[in-house]
Amino acid sequence: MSTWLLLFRKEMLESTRNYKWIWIPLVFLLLGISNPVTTYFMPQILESSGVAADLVPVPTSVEIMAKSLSQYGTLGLLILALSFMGIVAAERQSGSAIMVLVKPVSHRSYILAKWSGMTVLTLAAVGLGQLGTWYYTNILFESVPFRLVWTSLLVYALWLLFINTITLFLSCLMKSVGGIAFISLGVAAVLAILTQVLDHTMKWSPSRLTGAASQILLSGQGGGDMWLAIALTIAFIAALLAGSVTASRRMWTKS
Amino acid sequence: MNLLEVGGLTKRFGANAAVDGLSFAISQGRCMALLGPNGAGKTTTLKMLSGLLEPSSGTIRFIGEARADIRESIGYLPQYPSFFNWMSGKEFLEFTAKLARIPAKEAASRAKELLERVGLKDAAKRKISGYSGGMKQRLGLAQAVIHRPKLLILDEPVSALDPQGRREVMELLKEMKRETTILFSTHILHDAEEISDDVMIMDRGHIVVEGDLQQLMRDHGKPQIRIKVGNADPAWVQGLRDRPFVREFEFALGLITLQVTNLHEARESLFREFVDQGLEIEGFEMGQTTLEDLFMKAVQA
Ligand SMILES: Nc1ncnc2c1ncn2[C@@H]1O[C@H](COP(=O)(O)OP(=O)(O)O)[C@@H](O)[C@H]1O
Ligand SMILES: [Mg+2]
Repeated sequence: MSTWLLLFRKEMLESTRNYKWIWIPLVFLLLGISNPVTTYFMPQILESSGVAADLVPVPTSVEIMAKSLSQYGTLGLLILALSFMGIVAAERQSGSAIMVLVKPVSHRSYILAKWSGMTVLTLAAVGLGQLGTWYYTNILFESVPFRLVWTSLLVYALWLLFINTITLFLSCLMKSVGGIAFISLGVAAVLAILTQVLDHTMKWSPSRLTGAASQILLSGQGGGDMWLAIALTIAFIAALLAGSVTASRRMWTKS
Repeated sequence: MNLLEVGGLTKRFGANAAVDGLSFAISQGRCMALLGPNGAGKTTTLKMLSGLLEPSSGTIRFIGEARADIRESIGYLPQYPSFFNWMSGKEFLEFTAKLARIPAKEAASRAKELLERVGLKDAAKRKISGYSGGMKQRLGLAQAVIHRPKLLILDEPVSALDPQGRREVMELLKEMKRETTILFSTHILHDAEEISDDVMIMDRGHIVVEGDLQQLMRDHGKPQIRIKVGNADPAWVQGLRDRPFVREFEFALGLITLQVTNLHEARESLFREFVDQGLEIEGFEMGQTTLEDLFMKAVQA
């Protein structure tokens, strides 16, 4: 069995044993479901508090689904950063990583297995969340074609994976796990703001993927710059992965 | 035949040289103790040998080792081993076996065999988080030898253990000594004397003394007599330093330590004095200066 696969399975087993495989998807599922459900009951909630319900426009199905996506980008991202901040740093700190790295294991397999583990878990979590949203949206409102659901989801997930990769990279570089999560989320926030402010110069920005994903739901099209942002985000992820491997190797062999 | 040859091995952390120009060789099948006080550079040296740390300069050469990755030929137990505590002992050993490229089926049987050997058979299915310090150290030993390494590198394998755990690990080391070449570090002399063939004493990044333990004892072992007297006359005690056969004299806590030129001559002469002066001798011991004296001297120099 290849070393990468072996380490990947270890990551999977570990995140099962420490219940990350339960509670991360659960948080995303709750985020996803709560959105259409609260929207459905909103008129009653408003009425009971004395506000005329017809003053508030009822969102369309696709708007509800787009809103769910944006929730994964805030609360969801926070959960992901907090769960993955120690993914490399904690093992290095405790010394358990030594047990892996004294065996004939390359830093590349080691890091790629970590990344794959994060990726599978993240995709499963947003996938579950969005399926939940879709299910309740279809029941409570008009139905949304599945094609829009999964394409928008993939585009949005790429943004989450990008931030995940930054977390991984920082985890290879830094000791303080709190700092790792803080900087990852900071990068996400700053990118999102800059991309809005400098709309024309930031066409390449990974955070454009969030807008593109909503566009897919609302209009069926991600917009002209979507593919540029997708290509560059994939390139950034690849570069960050290469950087993580180098950082991990340096961290071990130099100090 | 040499298994490992090290030349000019140096590791600098900033301006500090933790290991400074180490050159030595380890012979196949021998057990070498790397001795030295805390901060001598033992851990740094062992980490470089096991491929975890890159030397600032110098060479490490495995003789007749064609494998691209030297880690395949090395087993390593860190000074403070840390495990994946959510795994069971069995899971952990199978995992490390597979990392060492042992096929799955063989990995399982090898793990089983080693768990039994290190006395963890009954705890095999329990989580490592519940293991005692001694159990963890034995598990660490098992993972280090799982792939039958040519060289077993152990960093202070018994230093942190209680006497019982220390005993168990020492017995295991004695067994493993028969199967592979061992390099282990310790700051406790007794450990080195108990199982090593060769010793290397390090201090502040340098080798102070190195060689065959027996040979070193012979070369550095000076005939020595220790006397404990109940009713010693201080004048007589102090007068001992002027005897022709006494080379070095020490008197502390009622114990006289003499390094002498000739044991027999010294004994004859001293016994006569005991009788003539009616001294109450509570203890009389003849022997050689130990590795400890050598160690203390080397480290203080
Ligand atoms: N990563 C590091 N960074 C800076 N200094 C270090 C590092 N590791 C060890 N040292 C220093 O190198 C010296 C030797 O340390 P070490 O090899 O751990 O000694 P020993 O194992 O013999 O106690 C010590 O002075 C220690 O402070
Ligand atoms: Mg040490």
